[in-house]
Amino acid sequence: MSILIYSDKINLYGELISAGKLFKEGFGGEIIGLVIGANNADQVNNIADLGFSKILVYSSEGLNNYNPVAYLKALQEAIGEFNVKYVLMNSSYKNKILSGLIASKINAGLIVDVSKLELDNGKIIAERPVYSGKALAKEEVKGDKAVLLIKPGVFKARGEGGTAEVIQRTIDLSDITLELTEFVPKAVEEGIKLDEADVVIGGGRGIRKKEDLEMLKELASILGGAWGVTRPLAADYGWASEWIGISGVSIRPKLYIAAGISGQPQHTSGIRESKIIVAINKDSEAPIFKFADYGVIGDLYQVLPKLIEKLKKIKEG
Amino acid sequence: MVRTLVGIKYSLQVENLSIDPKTREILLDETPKKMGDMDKRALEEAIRIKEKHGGEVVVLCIGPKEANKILLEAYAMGADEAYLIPVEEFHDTGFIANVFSKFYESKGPFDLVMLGGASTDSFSGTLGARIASLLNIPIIPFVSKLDVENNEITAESALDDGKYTYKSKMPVVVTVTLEINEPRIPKLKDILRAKRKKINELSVSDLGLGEISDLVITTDVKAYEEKRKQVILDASDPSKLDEVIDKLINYLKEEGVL
Ligand SMILES: Cc1cc2nc3c(=O)[nH]c(=O)nc-3n(C[C@H](O)[C@H](O)[C@H](O)COP(=O)(O)OP(=O)(O)OC[C@H]3O[C@@H](n4cnc5c(N)ncnc54)[C@H](O)[C@@H]3O)c2cc1C
Ligand SMILES: Nc1ncnc2c1ncn2[C@@H]1O[C@H](COP(=O)(O)O)[C@@H](O)[C@H]1O
Repeated sequence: MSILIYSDKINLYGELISAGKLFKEGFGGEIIGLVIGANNADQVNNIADLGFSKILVYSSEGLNNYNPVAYLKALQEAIGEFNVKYVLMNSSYKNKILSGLIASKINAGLIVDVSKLELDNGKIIAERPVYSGKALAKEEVKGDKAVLLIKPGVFKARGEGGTAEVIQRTIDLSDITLELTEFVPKAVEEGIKLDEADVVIGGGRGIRKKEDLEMLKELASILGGAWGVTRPLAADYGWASEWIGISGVSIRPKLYIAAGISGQPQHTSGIRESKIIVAINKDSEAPIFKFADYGVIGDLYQVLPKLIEKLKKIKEG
Repeated sequence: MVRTLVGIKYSLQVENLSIDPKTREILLDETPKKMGDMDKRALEEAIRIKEKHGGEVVVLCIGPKEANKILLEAYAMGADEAYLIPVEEFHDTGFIANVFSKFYESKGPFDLVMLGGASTDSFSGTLGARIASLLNIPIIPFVSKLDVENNEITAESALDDGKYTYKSKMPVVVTVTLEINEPRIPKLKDILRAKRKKINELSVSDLGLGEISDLVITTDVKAYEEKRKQVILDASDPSKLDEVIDKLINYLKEEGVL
């Protein structure tokens, strides 16, 4: 029996193997790493000492970019060959699709967006946010197979050393009828990534024009953080390539400053893991104030410049 | 001609969750419900495809009897046939996918299955993949733009790291995002006409499904308690601004986050 770990981000294998060890302690077996795509294959060295017994690397041409049907084939082959009972992946949109595909193929219980995971006498018990992040559900896997998608940051990365046996694989994808014709990567913002930043400055529809995002950027740069927006600013106005929230990026900074954001559940579900939240809103009734540690009632066009001015002075000594 | 099966879920309105203040349990009966936001866009897109290429739109909801409401809404928007498979209990996506696929097989052939990228309440985002897997047909997920031509579909998927364009022969499962379209608001006469239409009911056993059990059970759901400090500083009077910002900075220093 084995436990299979797959991540679409090379830096998350460390966290996932910590979850894998929990399963190994509980159920025995070996922990196998799965890597798909040539780009990632180059980085196998980075994960070879985390404690995997084997790492399977699938790097056929049709696997270089995400094709759910082709990726499923690699996953299915690995699961069949090594009698995999538990599949652990990072929670992402791509993996939601992959996990749904594989769970129905192998008839496994599936839980996505896992924010807490424990084994209780052989029972797999997970927590995950539901209802747009307003509630927390406790779920339990029935049956003897599980596919779990774990949110980043739930487990601490704990490498254990060792050297994994690396097994190179190719697969025949000639029967895959889904064709990827184009991939346009997201414009990568310079600097720190939203989901990795210690400080995030967020702006919502209280920001009247695109140029005014400069205030967010300036504040972010003073504090050494990243800036982000709510969904309408990105999806409707096109001012940014991604947004914070349930259908976008989840953040977990030490400090999140939300300016001109009303605080709808779809947004706040993506900021729940922030340590301290500051809200700036001119409407004293805005729901975001219930979600904030410090709320400033006021016009962001006055508050942000003042905050920038004072912080600049402090930082300059 | 394109014959599309659309899945719509009778979803909780998460903005208006009714919560028991003592136990933090969600009062499901008292929480208003509606057709899922993305589901409605899936339906809208299916109707647009029919308007352009001809064909038929069949809508399916697996849910409680009151879900009739959203099936009538689907008729008013332009669906041709609406089906309800009544289930009273909550089920995992594996169960729903099994029922859905059986329905597809018994009422097919379909060229297209359209679903929301994720349901408004549980937001799992996995049902489309599970159905595609059971039916052994491809999936194009989280689509923000699509084009149908000669039994082939080209669609743009908005995924974590960028936009992927996929092409597939039909049948195929497509799940859509909020950006794909702006759903129509039915006219009064369409709403009235819809009221006279029949909602077809099928039971799980009508579909010839044996015992299927959930592989994941939900043992507890509780609303989060918002444990934020909620210290409010009022700077609505600009003359207070200086003082308020100094206070804020001090708080943040004390918290060790500056
Ligand atoms: C399925 C689904 C998924 C979604 N996913 C997401 C998601 O992932 N992320 C997300 O963000 N949204 C998401 N949304 C949208 C979400 O429901 C809200 O519509 C959105 O978060 C609102 O953005 P906002 O707060 O910027 O705008 P609004 O709600 O319009 O709020 C603007 C706020 O700015 C304040 N304001 C205005 N002017 C000023 C000023 N000068 N100074 C200070 N304050 C000012 C106003 O008082 C108001 O509170 C989703 C919606 C659905 C249906
Ligand atoms: N009970 C249901 N009946 C019909 N369609 C459903 C049901 N549950 C989910 N769906 C569809 O599947 C999509 C994804 O749901 P989920 O995987 O639960 O996030 C939704 O947007 C709906 O279109």
